[in-house]
Amino acid sequence: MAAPASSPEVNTRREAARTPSSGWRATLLRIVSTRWSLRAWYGGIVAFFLFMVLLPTLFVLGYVAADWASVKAVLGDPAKASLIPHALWLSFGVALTVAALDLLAGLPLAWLIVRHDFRGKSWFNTLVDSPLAVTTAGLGFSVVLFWGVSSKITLFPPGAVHLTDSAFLILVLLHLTTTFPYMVRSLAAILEEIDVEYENAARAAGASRLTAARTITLPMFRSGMATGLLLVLAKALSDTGGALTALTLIGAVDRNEFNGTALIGTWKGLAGSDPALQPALAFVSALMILLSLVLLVVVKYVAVRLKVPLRRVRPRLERKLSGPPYPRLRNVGAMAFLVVFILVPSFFFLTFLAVAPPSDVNWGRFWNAVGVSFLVGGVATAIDLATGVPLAILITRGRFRRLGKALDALVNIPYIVPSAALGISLSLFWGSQRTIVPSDVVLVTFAHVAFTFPFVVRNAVGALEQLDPATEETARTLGARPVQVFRRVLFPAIRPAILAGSIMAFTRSLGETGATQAVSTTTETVPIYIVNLITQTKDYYQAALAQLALLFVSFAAILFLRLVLERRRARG
Amino acid sequence: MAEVVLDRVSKSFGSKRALRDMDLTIRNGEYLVVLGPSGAGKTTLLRTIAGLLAPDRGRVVIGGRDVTRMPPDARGVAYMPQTYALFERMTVWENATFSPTVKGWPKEQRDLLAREMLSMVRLIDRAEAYPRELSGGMQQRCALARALAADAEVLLLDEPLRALDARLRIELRNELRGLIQHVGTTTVHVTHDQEEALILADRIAVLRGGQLLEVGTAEDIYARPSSAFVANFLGEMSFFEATAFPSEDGTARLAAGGTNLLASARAGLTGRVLAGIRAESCRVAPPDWRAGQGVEGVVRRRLFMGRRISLEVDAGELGPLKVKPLTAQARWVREGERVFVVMPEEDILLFPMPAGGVSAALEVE
Repeated sequence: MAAPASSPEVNTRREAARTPSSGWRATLLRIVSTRWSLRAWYGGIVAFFLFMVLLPTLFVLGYVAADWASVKAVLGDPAKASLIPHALWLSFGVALTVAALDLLAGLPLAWLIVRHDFRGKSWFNTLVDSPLAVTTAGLGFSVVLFWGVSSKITLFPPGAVHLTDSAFLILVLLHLTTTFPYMVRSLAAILEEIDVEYENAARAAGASRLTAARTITLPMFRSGMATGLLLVLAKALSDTGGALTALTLIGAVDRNEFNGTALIGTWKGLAGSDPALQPALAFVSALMILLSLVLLVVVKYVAVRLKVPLRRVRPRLERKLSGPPYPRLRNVGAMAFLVVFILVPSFFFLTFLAVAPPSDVNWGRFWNAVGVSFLVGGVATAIDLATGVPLAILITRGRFRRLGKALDALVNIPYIVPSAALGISLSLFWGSQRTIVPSDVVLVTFAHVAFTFPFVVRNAVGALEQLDPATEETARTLGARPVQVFRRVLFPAIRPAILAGSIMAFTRSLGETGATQAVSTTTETVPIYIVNLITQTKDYYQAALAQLALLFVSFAAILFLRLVLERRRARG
Repeated sequence: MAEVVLDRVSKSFGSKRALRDMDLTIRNGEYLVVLGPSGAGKTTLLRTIAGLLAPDRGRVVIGGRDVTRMPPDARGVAYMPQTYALFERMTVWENATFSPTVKGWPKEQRDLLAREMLSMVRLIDRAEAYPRELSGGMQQRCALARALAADAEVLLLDEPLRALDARLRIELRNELRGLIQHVGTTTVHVTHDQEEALILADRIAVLRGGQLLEVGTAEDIYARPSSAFVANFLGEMSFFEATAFPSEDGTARLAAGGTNLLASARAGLTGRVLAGIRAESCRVAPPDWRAGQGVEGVVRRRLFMGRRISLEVDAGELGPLKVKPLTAQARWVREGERVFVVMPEEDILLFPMPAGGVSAALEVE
């Protein structure tokens, strides 16, 4: 190997290079790199998580336990107590039904997306995700318009099905639209990870296509199913805006039929004039929180270990089902489900704009609500980023394994807890601290931080787990201090995941009704504006138009966010 | 450049003792190869020097400074992990300038150094490429340039050739040595490949079960290994038990089974000993030739390997012998035939009889 002769500069540079850099940047770097400042920083992050996220979320449990006497008094009132079991059924029964349906229909669709190549695939992907762009309140209206029987809506567009006014059925149909994209996304993500070679090996060993997929691939993504199920359950359980609008429109509210979150929303509205409702609110919230925690544990830790009784193979039947025309039927079926149960009901409200007589939209109120939504969502996402990413680093790279694991599990809690219940808990927690929380908007922002926080942390943890620790170690030995390792190596590598997490957090905040309503009766974000238009002023045209406008606004916002971050990447 | 001293360094992971009272001095400017089977503690040793692991006991001294409690960035080392850990989102140039940049060196010096190192590894033309666009060999050279551009006093290489395919490995092996010799940095190179160790090392340190068995030049260790394990790890050996009778002239007469052999004596070794000979040191001859000392046996297996033929010969009471003669010399040998295995006196190595039995003494894991 011919190497260039050692130049005279080489020796001088060795000397010069060693001279330590000075100036305020170097000094700052030295200070923030000391062991103590790192410890203080991480301690602060954990404290933030515990006191700003976890404790407020679970506070209501202690509150109910401490004030059991007043809860008992409420339970003595049959008019209130009788609503609770049915509400829980309409929350949990619906969520579980929806989860099962999502899984059944999502599997073939995820398969289609991952294992087949076809033209316009990215468009198709966007189409699957598109219902997420509509607020759940908008979806509630849209779904009732398509499927429902309603005496409140006097004018139905052509094509409306007029199927039912059953609360259970309408809620199931509604939550299919709010959750299906999540299920398809998580299943597809895991399927993407699984090497096709496993299936090929099984097929080479004589298994039919169906047998190979069923016995080899499916068991491998049990954890993906768990993730998908949790997302779906959390979303279905949390939704307030959609349930409130849908239940109002089909007349269920007039029949005194509520699901858990709608009950919380309604009682919260009445609690101002009837303080006796306060313990009842706390009790329902505590119940919702407890039940969802049980659900979290069951899905995350029990269901994953269950053995699926699918061992038996019927070779001939399965071979027959693997050949034509069945795969095509499966694909067509999956597409039909997507169109009939998800896409058309989600966007059916647009047809209403065509048939209904226009009415004047109060654009001032609309833009005001947009402003509040973006302010709350933006600030909450920024706080999530500033605290969630360090927490993710602590979870994946911390010296104390147990602490990391515990934090990792705890982060899921605010995410599975129904946000309306979380809101009640949070407002009880901060209620007496009006000096820290001077205004409702601040309280709403706190609530939004609590339930969006897991999105950023989860995404960052996922990306960090993918990243080889040797990369950071090498950077350290090459002379980089921890802060430099983060800025130059770690952050650039996990930026796409953080971006995805922030978008999830931001859109979740943008669409949130339950928590906002539960902590403040005066703050009007866009979804609450839409809910109010439908449930109070019954101005459906305005609601549909506002929803459409919001679609454009959020699309522009996400595009802008992407553009800014992409440009920074190109520069950096 | 600096001397590295490990002073009674110990490190355990749970109940597993990865390093036991390690005493090792790596001389200034030396290329030391740490050789050992997987699980011997090689990587732990490297990471302890790098500061990525804190030892339970003992001291690490680099260039006269006790760095035991210093973070990795203050030690003046450059570490190159098995996977190279190139920064995926930086170009080759940004990778190479990473260390000078984070250390805050003046731009001119940084650029000069990076350019010099990238020219040396012949990547200056690919400076704008991203690591994923490079071939395996280029990635390895890029990682090397990045490490060298740190202008570190000690270079730590963890299996730097492992991820490459066989041909490239041999090519880059020779290149690596040339590059580092040119820069003259003290280097610790960890590997489980004895050939790599023999070719690259100024000195080899053999590790096993967290303990340092032997340090020395490649030729010394190969010719006079201190233990049966080291001998076996450096090249395929056949072992047999024998009784040694040393004589005045520096040779020892060995009685093994019914055979008498001569070997170079080893101080203090008498009575029951373990004798061994490398497969490549043995030759074969037809049974009636008797060309020198050796033993007769039956060929149980014959594998053609190109330049050499690998034989397993059942030598009766001496046990099975591994023999790898040159193909040109042993082309005629067939399975099931009787052959005479020639065992030159100077190639027979003697070791004390291991207390725990022969197979335990040789066990790699």
